[in-house]
Amino acid sequence: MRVEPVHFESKMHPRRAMWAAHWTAALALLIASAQPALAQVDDEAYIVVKVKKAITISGDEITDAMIVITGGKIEAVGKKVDYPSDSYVIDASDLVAMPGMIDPRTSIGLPRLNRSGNQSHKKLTDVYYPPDDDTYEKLLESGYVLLGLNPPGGGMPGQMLLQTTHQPKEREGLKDAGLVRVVFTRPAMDKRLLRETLKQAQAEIDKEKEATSKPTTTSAPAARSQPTSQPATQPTSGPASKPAASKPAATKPAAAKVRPELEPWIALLKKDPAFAAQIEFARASDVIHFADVVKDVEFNRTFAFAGFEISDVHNVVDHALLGGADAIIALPPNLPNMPLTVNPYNPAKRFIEAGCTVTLFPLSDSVQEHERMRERLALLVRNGLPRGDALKAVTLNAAKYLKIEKEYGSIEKRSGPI
Amino acid sequence: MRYCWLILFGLILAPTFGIGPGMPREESAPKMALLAQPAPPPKPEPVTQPATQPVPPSSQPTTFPTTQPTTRPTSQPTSTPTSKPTTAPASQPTSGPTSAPTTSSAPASQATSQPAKPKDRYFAIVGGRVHPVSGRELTGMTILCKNGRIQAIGRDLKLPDDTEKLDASGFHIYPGLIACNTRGLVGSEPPEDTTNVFATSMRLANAGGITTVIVCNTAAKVTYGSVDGILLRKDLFVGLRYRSAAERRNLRDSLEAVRKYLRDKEEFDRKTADGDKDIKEPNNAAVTGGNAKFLQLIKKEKAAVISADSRTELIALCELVEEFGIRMVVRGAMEGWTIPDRLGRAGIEAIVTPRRQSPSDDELNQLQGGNIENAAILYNHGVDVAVTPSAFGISLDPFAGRDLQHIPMEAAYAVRGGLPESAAVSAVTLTAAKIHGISDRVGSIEVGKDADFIVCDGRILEFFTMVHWTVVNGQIVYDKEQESLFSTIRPRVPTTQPEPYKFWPRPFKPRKAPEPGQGGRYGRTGDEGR
Repeated sequence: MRVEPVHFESKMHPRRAMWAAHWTAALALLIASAQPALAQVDDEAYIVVKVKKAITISGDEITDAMIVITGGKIEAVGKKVDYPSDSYVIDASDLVAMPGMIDPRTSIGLPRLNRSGNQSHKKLTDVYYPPDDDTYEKLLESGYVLLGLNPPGGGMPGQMLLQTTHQPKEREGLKDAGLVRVVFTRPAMDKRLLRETLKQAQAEIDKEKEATSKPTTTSAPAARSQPTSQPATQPTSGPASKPAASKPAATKPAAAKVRPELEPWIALLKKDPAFAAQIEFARASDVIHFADVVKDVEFNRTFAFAGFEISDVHNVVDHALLGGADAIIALPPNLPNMPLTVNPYNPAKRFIEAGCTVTLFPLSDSVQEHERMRERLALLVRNGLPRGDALKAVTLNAAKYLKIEKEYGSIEKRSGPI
Repeated sequence: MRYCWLILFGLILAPTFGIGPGMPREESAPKMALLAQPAPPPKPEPVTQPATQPVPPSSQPTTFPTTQPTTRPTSQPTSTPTSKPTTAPASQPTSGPTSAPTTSSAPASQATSQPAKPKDRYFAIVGGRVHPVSGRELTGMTILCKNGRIQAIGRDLKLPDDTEKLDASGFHIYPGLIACNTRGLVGSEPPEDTTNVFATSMRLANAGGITTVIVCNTAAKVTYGSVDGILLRKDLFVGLRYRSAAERRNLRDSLEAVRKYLRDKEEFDRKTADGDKDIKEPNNAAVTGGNAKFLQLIKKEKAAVISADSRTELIALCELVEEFGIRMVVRGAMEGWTIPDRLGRAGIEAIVTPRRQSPSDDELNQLQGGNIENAAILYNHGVDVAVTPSAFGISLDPFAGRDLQHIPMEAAYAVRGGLPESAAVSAVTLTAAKIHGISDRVGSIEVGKDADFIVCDGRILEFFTMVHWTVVNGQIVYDKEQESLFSTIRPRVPTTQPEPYKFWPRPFKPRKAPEPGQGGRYGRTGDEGR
C-alpha cells in the first residue's frame, strides 16, 4: 500500500513505517489465531513463539525474544526462557510481535437501536448476534483481537459489551463491561438528562441512608411518643400499632424499589470500581457544559471525542476535567485542520503532552476503516505522535479504557485468559 | 519546524486557560510583577504610569504605536494577565525586585481568604481614555472591578494586591457593544445550555466588540470558553405581530379584554370594600395563562417588540400605543423618518439599520422608502434609537462590513446621516440596553454595572479602529495580539520594519520560510506588502 503525498518529516521512512506496521499486525494475527487451535488440542500444551522483536508495550522492547504461551495465557517473555521440550515452537524469528489491537469504541455488527433517554441498565448481550459474514475474520486479519461494542443511540443508551474477534459465535466470548455510555453531544438535552439522573440517583442514595439509619434514630422517638399521643383509652392498640409502626421501616427497602435504569448510576455515585461512565463529546464546548453539570459530583468516568468536529479540542486540553494522568480519552485517529487554517492538527499528541491517557478508535464502524487503522496510526506518527504512544493507544490504553488492562493490551505474564 | 503550528496555537490560546504548554510563564511572571506593583501604605505611588497622564486630544492622534511610552514593557501582550481566577497571577511573582512587599502581604491576604467564601476577583484597567457613554470622556482614570462588577472609577485608586491589571494607556475604553436581535453567536434559549463556547463566531463577536447579545427573548453575554455568567436576563419583552387584519383584531381584542377586566376588578374591589356581597368577581381569563403577557403590557411591566417598516404599519402602531398606552419597540422602522413626530409623541423606541435602502414608489404620492437620515431624524424628534446591522450573525463572506462584527460601522453610517456622534455610540451601547431593559447591568461604564469593556486603538466609530481587548464580566476574553485572524493588522507592538520601497515595481524577494513565533499564523514578518 502506498500513501501518496504527505510531506511531513519523520525519523522513520514512510515505507519502513508501513512495513513495520504490517509485520507487527501479521504477528498479532499469528498469536491470536494460535489460541483457538491451542484450545482444541490441549489446554496444558505449551506454545513457544520465537520472534525477532517483541513490543511488550508495558516494558521495553525485547529483541530475539521468546514468548511462552500456555492455556491461552502468556507464561513468560524474555530473551531466553525455559520451556518444556515437547512445546510447539513457532519460529517467526524474522517477524515482530505486539499485543493484539483493541478497538475501544465501535458498534460494528450491532442492530440499529433507537434508544434515547436514560436506559443505562440495558446490556447488549440480549440484542447482539454475531454477523454471519466474514466481518470478524477481516477484523482479525487487520490486527484487532477485541472490540468494545457500544450501544448505538442518544442519551444514555446502555452499557458496553466486550467481544473477542477470534470466537465471535461463542457466547463465552462476550463480557459485559460496566461502562455506562453517556452521549453528551447535544448539551441542551443531554445536560437536562444528566442533571435529572444524578439528582434521582442521589435521592435514592439518601433514601437508602435514611432507611438504614431509621431503626436506630426515628423508631425510638416514635415508640416513645405513642403512649403520650394515645392516652390509656385503648391499651390494646399499643401492641397492635407497634408492628404497624415498625412495618414501614422493614418494608421500606422493598417498597422503595429502585428503578433499574438508576442502579448503575447509584453504583457510580458510590464509586463502585466495577462501573465507569463513558462520556462522549462531539466538540470542546461539550466539555465545558459537562463540567457545568458535574461541578460537585464525583464518579468514575472516561471520555471519548466522537465525530469529525474535534479540531477544537485544543481548547480543553488543559481543562481540569480532562488534564492529568487519571483521564482516559478516546479519540478518532484523524488529523483535522486547525480552524480557519490549512495547518494539520494532531489532537492525540496534544492530549498526550497534557498528560492524558489517549486511546484511538477507528473513524467509522466499517471493516475498511479498521483495516486502515494502522495506516492512520502511521500518519499520526509522521505528524509528530511518538511511535510508542501510538502503539500504546491501540493496545494497552484501549484495555485501560475498557478496564481490562490486567488481561489484555501488553505482552507480559498474565493471569487472565487471552 | 513541524511544531510551529502547535507553538503558535499554544501562544494564542494559552491565556484562555491560564497554563498552556506554549505559555512562557517564567517570562510573564516578572513582567506581571512590574505591572502588579501594590500601592504601599507609607508612600502611595500613583498607579497610573507617568506617561499615561492626561494628554491633550489634539496632541495625541488616535493611532497609537508611535506614541507608546518607552517605559512600557515591550512584550506587554504576552504578559496580559490570564483571565482565570484559579491561576491567581499576582501571587506568582515571588522573586525579583518586587518580591519583598508581595511576600510580606501575601500570607496575610491568604489568611484572610481562608474561609469558605471564594476569593474576590479584582480586575483593573489603568490609564487610557474612558468613554462612559452615560457621561463625558474621562482621562487618567483607573477602573477597578470586583467579581465582574465595576467597583470604583477614579484617579490614584488603591488597588488590592492581587488585582489583575490591564494597562490601557494610549487606548480608548468603551462599554461593550450590544447586538440587538442575533442568531448563532451564542446558542438559542437557554444560552447557558446550548452555546458552543468555543465557536469561531463567538470569538469574532468579541473581536467586533460585542459583549452582550439579544438572542430570541433573552439577553446573554459573549463569554468565550465559559458558561459562567453567560445569562444576563430572560423574558425581556413580549413579541407581537400586528400586520394582517386578523392579527390586529386579535391583539386589540386581547388588550381591550384586559382593560375591561381591570375596570371590573377595580369596581369589584371598591364594592366589596363598601360591603356589597352580591357582586360577582370578574372572570380573570383575560389576564391568566397565555393572556398574562397582555396584562404585563398594559401595566407597562414589559415592552412589546414588533417588526414594522412601512409608514402605514408604523401609523397603525402609533394608534395602538396611543390607545392602550403600552411601551413599544419597533424593529426596522425604515420609513420612520416620514412620521418622526408621531413616533416621538407615542414614545415608541426604534431599532434601525441606517444602511437599509428601499427605493420609493413613484406612484404613491407620499414620503417613502429608506433614508440614511432615518436615525438622525428620529433622534431629533425624541425617539430612542438603537442601531443594528442588517445581518443577524457573523459571517466571513466576501462582503464584509454588513455583519455583526461591524456594528460601529453601521453606527457610523447613522452619523453620516446626521446623528450626533455621542448618540451613535449610545445607539449601540446604552440606548440599546435601555430599549431591552438591561441598562441596570450593561450599556455604560458606571459604578455597579457589569465590567464589560472594549479597549480600542481609536474612537470607535472610525473605520480603522480595532478592538484590542474585550473584557466580559471582568475577564479578558479577547486579545487582538493573540488572535491569529487579527494579530497581523496594525500590531500593538511596533516591529522593526524595513524602509518601504521607493519605486515600483518592487524587486522580487523570495519569501522567507516562516519561523515559529514570528509574525502571524503564516509566519508573516510584516514586510510582505512592501
